[in-house]
Order: sequence, then C-alpha cells, then structure tokens
Amino acid sequence: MSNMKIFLNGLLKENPVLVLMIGMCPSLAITTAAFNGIGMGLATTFVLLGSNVVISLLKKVIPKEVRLPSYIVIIAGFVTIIGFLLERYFPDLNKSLGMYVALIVVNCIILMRAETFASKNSVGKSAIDALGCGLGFTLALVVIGSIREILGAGSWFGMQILPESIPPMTIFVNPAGGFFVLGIVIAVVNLIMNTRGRKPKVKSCETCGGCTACSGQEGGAE
Amino acid sequence: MKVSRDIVKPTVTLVIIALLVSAVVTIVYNITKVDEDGMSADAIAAASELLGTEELEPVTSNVFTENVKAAAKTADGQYAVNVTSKGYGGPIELLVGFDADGKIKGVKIIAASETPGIGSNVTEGDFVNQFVGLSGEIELGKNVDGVAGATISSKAVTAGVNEAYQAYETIKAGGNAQAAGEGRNA
Repeated sequence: MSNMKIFLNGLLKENPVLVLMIGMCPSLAITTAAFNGIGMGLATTFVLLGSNVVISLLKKVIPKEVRLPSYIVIIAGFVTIIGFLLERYFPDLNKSLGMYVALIVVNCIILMRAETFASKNSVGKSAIDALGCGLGFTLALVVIGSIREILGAGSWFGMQILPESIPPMTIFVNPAGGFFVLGIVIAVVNLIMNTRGRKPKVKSCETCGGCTACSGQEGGAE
Repeated sequence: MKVSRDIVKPTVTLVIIALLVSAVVTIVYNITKVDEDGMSADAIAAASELLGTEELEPVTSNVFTENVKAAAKTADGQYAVNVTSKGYGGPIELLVGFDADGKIKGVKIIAASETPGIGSNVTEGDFVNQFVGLSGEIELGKNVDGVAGATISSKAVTAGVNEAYQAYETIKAGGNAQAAGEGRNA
C-alpha cells in the first residue's frame, strides 16, 4: 500500500468512528462542543502516533507472549504524558474532557492499530497509519461536535452562530442528542460510501460482463 | 534451556519496558508539575473578587488542619481561607472569605466533581449564598438549607466552610499564625 493510501484509509475509508464503529464511548461523551472534539481527537492522535512508532520500533524485541501487556504499558505511558501536558497547558480543555483523557488507554482504536498495523509494518508506515486514523477520529468528533454545538447551544467553537432569538435545542448537547447526531452522521456516511462504492461495480459489469471476476473486491463496511 | 527462552525472556522484556515507560513518565511529570505552594491561580482570582482587592498577603500556620490549603489576608483585616472537603464525587475545593468583623463574606467553589445536575447544584449561587453573613459553627438544616437530593455534597461544603472558620479563628487568635514572605503579592 502506498503511503497516501494508508493515510486515506484511516481518515476516510476505514474511519474508526463512522465506518468501523469503534471508539464510540468518547465520541458520544465529549462531543458536546466542537472544540472538545478537536482536543480529544488530537490527544488521541498524539497517543496513537507515539504508541504506533514505539511499538513498530520494538516489534522484533517484544516477545509474542507478552505483546498485549507491553502494548498497554506503552500506550498508558503516552496517555499519562498527554494527561500531564493537558493539565499543565490546557486546564480548561482538561476539565471538559474529564476522565476521557485517561480512558484513551482503553480506546480500542489505539490497541487495534498497534496489534493489526504497527506490529507488522515499518516505522514510517506506522506513523502515517497513526496520523490517518487519528485525524479520521478527530474529523468524526469535530463533525459530531459541531452539529451538536450549533443545534444545542447555537454556537460554533464558542462563537455565537444562531441569533439569540432562536432558542437552542438543548437536547442536542444532552446524551440523547449525541445518539441522534451520531446515528444520522453514520447514515449519511453510509449513503455516500454506498453510492460511491457501487458505481464502478455496475460499470465494470456492463463493460466486461463477468461479474464474478469483480465481486468481492469492494469490501469494507458491509 | 527452554525455561529461559519461554519464561525469563518475556518477563525480563516486559519489566524493562515498564521501567523505561515509568522513567519517561517521571521525567514528564517533573517538567509539567505545577508548583502547589500556596493558592492556585483560580483561588487567588476568587479571593480577589470576593474581598474586593488584589493585595493579598499569604498567611501560614503550623496548626492548620491538613484540609486547609492556604490562607491570605488583606490590609483592611479581611481573610480568605482555601480548603478542600470530601464530596460525593471527589474533593471539593472552596474558598471562604471573611470580612473584618469575622462574618463570612462569601463562599466560592473553586473546583468540584459532583454529579452534574444533582450534587453540582451546591456549587451554584443559591446554596453557597446562604453562608453569607454567618459566623461560628454552621449546621446544615439549622443555619443553611441543604440541596434536595445532594445531602452528601451539601454536608461537604458545610464541613469545608466550618473548617475554614476554624482556620480563621486560629489565625485571629494569634496561634502560630505568621505572615509568610513579607510583601509577597499572592
């Protein structure tokens, strides 16, 4: 796989939240505002980048029997570091993210990338994969956070967007609204993926006539 | 020998990884550590707002209870005491201001992690404003009304205010109180 493909794979095609449906817990809990989404997304990207690079470097050193505990220790180290940094330099963001910073340790996106990608690929590829997945996660959180903040609080990144005369729909910043928005965003993404994924299939059938040759190539979310 | 390959090597590797990670975390902790001497910036801001002046002189005493984090006084005889109290969801940090007559001038919650919508109500104006003007030992249900459904949080704030009052009395009584660092602007 080319580097660009690896990057786009994590960012869009296998977007952790919107396509693979992992990391749902922070995606619902912290996306009450767009800025929280950026903060959480970048914190996770930092941890993902650090752990992917280190695990890729150590892939020959770590014995198979203790690879999961080793991965968890390395990931926990990076999470603790980002926790200290947030506490020191971004205390407000740290307060609004709360315990979800510490919970990045058990975020399945990070362990999944360590186990399925970093432990099998070169350092450079692992770093690109981490950036793709991390920014994909950030993108999803910002989209969900923006919709919830605009509808639920009438603002975007803290700036007033809707006129004060329109009362905001508070339900969107409540947990129930999180489920609504997440469900609708995933539905829209699926719609785009389905229409984009099908077209070439139909075309190739018309031209080559042999559907069996092409079937199974468009894998992914189904 | 098989034992050394299958048992010793993974164990030693994991121990080394854990030690290295701990070392890195320790280094980062020491770099980012906030100096916790005296009041936090939030507490100083709250004290300035409450007492109406930014000229605060830190006061320390070796007979303060361990929940008293810091205290400060102003030139006109007002005091601010920074205490922590054990709430329902973790420690509640509060700042109690006393006017020159020894009455509570105001109570401000600096940090709390009480249950949102239930315990968090004690951090809002209606509850803490009840303390204004009181002095002496305060009893929940007698001097102040608790927040419905948030008994533990209400008790915690009341206990914190009482502890601050004791610290205030200690300072006033002369005790072992001493102004720390002459002219130091908190």
